[in-house]
Amino acid sequence: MSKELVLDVHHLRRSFGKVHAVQDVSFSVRKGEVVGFIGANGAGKTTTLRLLAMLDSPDAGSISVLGYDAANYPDKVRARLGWMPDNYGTYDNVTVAEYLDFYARSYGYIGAARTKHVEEIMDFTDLTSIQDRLMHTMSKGMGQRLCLGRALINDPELLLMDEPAAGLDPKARIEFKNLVRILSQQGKTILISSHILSELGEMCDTMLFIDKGRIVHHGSSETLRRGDTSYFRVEIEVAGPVDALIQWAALQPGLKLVETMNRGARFDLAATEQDDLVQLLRHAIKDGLPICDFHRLERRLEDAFVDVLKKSNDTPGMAPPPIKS
Amino acid sequence: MNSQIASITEKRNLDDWLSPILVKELRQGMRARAFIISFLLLQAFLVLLVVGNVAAQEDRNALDFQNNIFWVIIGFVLLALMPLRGLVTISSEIKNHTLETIMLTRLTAWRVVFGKWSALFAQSLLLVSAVLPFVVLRYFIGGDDVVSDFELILFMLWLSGILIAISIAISAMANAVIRIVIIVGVVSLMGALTDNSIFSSLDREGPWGVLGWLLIFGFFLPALLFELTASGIAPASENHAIRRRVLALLFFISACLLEWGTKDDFQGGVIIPFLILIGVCYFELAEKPRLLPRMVQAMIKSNPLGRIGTFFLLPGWPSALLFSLLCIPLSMGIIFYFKPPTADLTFPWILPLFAILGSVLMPIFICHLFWPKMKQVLLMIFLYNIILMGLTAVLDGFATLTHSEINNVLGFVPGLPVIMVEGDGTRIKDHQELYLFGNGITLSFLILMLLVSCRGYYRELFAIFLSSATVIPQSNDTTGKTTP
Repeated sequence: MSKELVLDVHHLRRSFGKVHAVQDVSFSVRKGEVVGFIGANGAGKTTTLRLLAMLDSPDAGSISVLGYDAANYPDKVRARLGWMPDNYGTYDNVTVAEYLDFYARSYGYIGAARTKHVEEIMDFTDLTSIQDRLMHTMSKGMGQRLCLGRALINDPELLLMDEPAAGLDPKARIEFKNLVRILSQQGKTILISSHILSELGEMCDTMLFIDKGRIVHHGSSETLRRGDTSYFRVEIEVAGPVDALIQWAALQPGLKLVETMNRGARFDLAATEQDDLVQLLRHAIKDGLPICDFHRLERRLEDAFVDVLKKSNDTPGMAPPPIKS
Repeated sequence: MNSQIASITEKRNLDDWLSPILVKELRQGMRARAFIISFLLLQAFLVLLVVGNVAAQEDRNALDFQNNIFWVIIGFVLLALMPLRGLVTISSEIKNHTLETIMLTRLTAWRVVFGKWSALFAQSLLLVSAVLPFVVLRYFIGGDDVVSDFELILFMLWLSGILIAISIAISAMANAVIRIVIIVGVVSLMGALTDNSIFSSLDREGPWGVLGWLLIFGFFLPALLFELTASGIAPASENHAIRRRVLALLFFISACLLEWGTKDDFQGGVIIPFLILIGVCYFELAEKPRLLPRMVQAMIKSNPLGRIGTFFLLPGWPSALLFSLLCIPLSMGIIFYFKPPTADLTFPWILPLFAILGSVLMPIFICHLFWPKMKQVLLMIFLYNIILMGLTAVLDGFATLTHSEINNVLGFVPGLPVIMVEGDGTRIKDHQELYLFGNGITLSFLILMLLVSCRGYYRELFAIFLSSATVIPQSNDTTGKTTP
């Protein structure tokens, strides 16, 4: 049974004068999914996220969060959203704990429950040790953690993050990835925008590519890495002569040689299911091939993104792809 | 992480009863250098003043001089420094991108604005409370009248509250020109107040009359300003038009009732709320229409008159047009009841009415029908009236030079009589029928065209009426959740 639909966007449009920032954007996200929202600078990521966060009104189209139409039930939608902007604002003369306390109050937490909740958030985001620090004196990494803490203060079901890891040092990025992983395990639905694909690759289940205000791809990370889904590319290395491997491969149905290497070769296996890969390996071992390495080759996300963009640019007036079911 | 939002039955601390914005602003504000420095300087200055008072006890001139200095300092802190701090409250939140994250919480725009005002006003109160011991000391040292001193401090506090509300309203405005126009307007109004035209006439009202005016102005003016500010920062889904229009109307009605109750000849108390009502009408007519089904349904469900209310109180110029066409003639009629026009005209109140209506209908006709992408409609209304004033001056001068009556062509230009009917109406006295006829025709045309252009809006409104009548009662859906 498919999971509950958390976010459902239909034919969203937003223009600023002659600039069509968002053009007929439609997609949906299911509960617990971590979606990478990828596009070049100026592709329309932030505008789309701001529309989803209800910080801007669309010229046309509809947004539904957990079944609530955003235009007609904004309060209910806002209560279920967490928003982490790329440029979080700071206040002068306000400490970390006071900042989170203010937002907890604003979401209706009172008394001891509020204090406990703020402590939990600071604990989760590892801010407890700097809770008395004035927020305008914090580093970028601390600021992002505070911003995440603020976005989580209302325990949202859908978390929207706009370039959350931009400007973070490697250590802070790893910490941030870990936090996203934990949130994902807790069942939060997360939409993360970025133009740095490598940082999204490990975090996201699904990728959403946007270019010139249009969604040009919506699919799982795995499909994207595989590229053409009608075959798997595999690399096999053997301990003995490579010729034996090539002769063996020629006899296997659906297996086509792509290139030979020093200690093995690359093949395309015409198959769609992972079971076919398992069968291939089983056959190779059964036939006595001295296999020392067998692995599936995947494209880098960057290459996949470039391919998708190229494909969409080669098709003038390309309609957005059908919404993923 | 999984704790739920506390229920209202949970035990609240004292600070839980306060607005979150107030708590944050007080924490922030009382650590701010501007507050700490002004507080310390004020204390140091007052200590020096007391020392000066003791030293100059026998010298009446020196005491008077020190007395003046005392009030200038208190006045500067309450009427300049604290309101000036208000000028950046909302704009800094917008600039730092913090306002939008606040607007995603449960706080409404009104609560945000009120919280900001409360924090600044609380700081004014704190400064005043720090001054009070010195007022008492001055009584013992210099023999000053402590009661009148307290009265003056309270009046300054009242004015400080209003000025803070105005400065916060200005801080939410994006357009620099409108900000400057308002600041100039406020400074001019302050000049008018000190020029004894309004508050000197309050003296004739007696203590209860004065208290009445102070209460009415002290309540409605900030409340209206909060609404105007809130509507500038609120999400599109909030309907602030209802409260803005109702508050402006109630302000005017309350002033009229007090005028009628005190039966005095004080005019300023009615004219200022009237001008504010006209200003609100201008503001409303400049607003783009927003017809959200939820907003309409909320009004329909709220009371039996809600359906009629939607024609007058929804955000946007179509409903503002009906509101203005109803309120402006009615309020002008009431004004003329209290203050019969002095102009020697056959139609002494119809021409000013045409003048006011024309001054706003013509620019909104141009903007809404021919320039729909125009965002600064309010600015266009100002510009239109300024241009017409210039044109009138030029044509008047030309008519005088050439001994012609060329300036009468302006009788057909809507809004022109705002300046033509001023004073005793001598400028148009000889041709008032022409002005009445000319402006009557052009105004009727403008109203008709504006109403015709709203037909799509009303079609949509009636569609929401129909859907509300059929869907809402049957489904009894109060959650608003649709099946995904």
